Amino acid sequence: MSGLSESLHRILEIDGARTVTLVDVGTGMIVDSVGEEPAGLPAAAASLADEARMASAAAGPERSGGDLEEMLVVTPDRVHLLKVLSRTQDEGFMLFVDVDRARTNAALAAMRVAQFAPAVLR
Amino acid sequence: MADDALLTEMRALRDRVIGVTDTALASRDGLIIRADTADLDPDNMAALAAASLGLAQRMAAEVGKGVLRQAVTRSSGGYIAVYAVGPKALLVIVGDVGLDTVRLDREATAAVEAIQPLLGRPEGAGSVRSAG
Amino acid sequence: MDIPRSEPAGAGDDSSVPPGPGQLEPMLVSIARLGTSGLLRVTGEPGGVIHLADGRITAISTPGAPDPEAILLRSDRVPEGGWSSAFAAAASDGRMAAELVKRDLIGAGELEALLRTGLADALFALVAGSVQECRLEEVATPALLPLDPGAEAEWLLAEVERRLGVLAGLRTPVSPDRDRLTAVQGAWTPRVGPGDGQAEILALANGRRTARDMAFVLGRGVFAVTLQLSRMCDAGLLVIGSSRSAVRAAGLRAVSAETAPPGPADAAGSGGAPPLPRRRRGGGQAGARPAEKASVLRMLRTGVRREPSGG
Repeated sequence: MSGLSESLHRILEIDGARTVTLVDVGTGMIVDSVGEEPAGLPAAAASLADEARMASAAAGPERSGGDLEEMLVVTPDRVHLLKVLSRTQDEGFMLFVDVDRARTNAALAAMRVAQFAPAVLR
Repeated sequence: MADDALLTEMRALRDRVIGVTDTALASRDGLIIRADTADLDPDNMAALAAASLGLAQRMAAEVGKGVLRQAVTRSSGGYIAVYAVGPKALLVIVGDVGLDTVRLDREATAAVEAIQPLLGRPEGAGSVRSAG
Repeated sequence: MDIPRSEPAGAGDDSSVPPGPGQLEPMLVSIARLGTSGLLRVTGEPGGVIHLADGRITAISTPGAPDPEAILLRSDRVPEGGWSSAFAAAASDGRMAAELVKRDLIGAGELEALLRTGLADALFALVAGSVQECRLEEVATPALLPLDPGAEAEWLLAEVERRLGVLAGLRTPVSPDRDRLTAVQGAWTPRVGPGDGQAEILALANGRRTARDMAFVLGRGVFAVTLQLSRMCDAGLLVIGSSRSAVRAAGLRAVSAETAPPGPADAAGSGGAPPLPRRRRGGGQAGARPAEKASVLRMLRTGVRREPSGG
């Protein structure tokens, strides 16, 4: 298993994590993915990259609060976590983690992902 | 018109070979004849290319490995290739790191063949023109 | 997914590989099945070479997309000095990747991610271009920064298909290596921050550069740049000024789409885009592509037709 896959597997060990995907922001491409791989995952990854880019743009030209770091999308059953690992807003990588809300809460999951995320590109 | 024909050949070369960013046609004594360049200074290019070609030809003669075909400068960001165009002129081709060097050699050699007769005419040499 | 290993095909042993010079995708699928190692030389435009190890793709070199060295250096992820030192120490032993990581010039995870996206980009450039012939050879010089283990051809090809689909759906179609873009005068006001890359693109959009050209300057992927250019066209910041003319078969000379209409030298007949070497065979071993994808491929190879800009 490659170093990248190992890092993603570590994140998959978080309680409730079902899918951990590394997405290329500029293209929406799935670079690597572990855990469940539903058929719609490639399309979802591409949409998520678009959403992250649009969220960045919505922050405005000054970006007074700084650059986009994370996004959380919450539904009754799931938390979708997007953690930005970019160098710039238009290129770099993003972690997508699909978490089962029955097994953890959004805040805890986000905290654990933030803990393990920096190691992914190292 | 010889004028348009020279630039046409040079532009066609840039069109056909992936990675060519600029071309210039100059006399052997370093004066620009035609330039299809963006941000490069054609006069500086012409002077340096002439010096470079001259040196390369002398080196080729010195080591006795035949006639010089192409003088290449390879940088971290790209290439510069200089070809002799007959005894009196030269063609400079600047490219990025993805330059298709194999195709370049074929197309540049063909371009040199096509350009030579155009230079023979009185109106084909001397006046400076840029593609802008 | 493990691919069962078999005896690797020797150079020139084409008997186990499907016939047909232009069939890149089926060839890669066969190579994967057979576990072939070696070099697949693709002639065409842009053409290139694909490095294979046990049926997987480890590196691709093509004029159509920046290789890992170009990406790392031109994007300023790795400084020139650091690169040169690592190269001097490790290149001849084939340990460049390990050396870059050891010297803290790049993280191992980031390098692997970049190698993967780089492979997808390069294969996309090959597939979206025209293919004349694919020939299996022995490896002469190993790649400097191979992905190890290599990527599965099926995975890369699926990503290429996805990209073609994305291109087909763009509001403003842009051919990555044919269409040249120009910044619209006065259209840009600094509406976005330093990180978003629009300023860089506008500075490069001088009417001479294609998405591929800009990608090489910036050390970014060609497809990523193409998407951004399309968005910037939608936003009124860029226009497609002209397109590189289609390349003819060896022996004939093409006329630039930017200059005068074709003259008597146009031996192929009409002054329009000449037919490119046929890339797709009839009968589709890989399955017929929808008409939509076929038209994307046509657009990619001829560029979006525009009036000569005259500039």
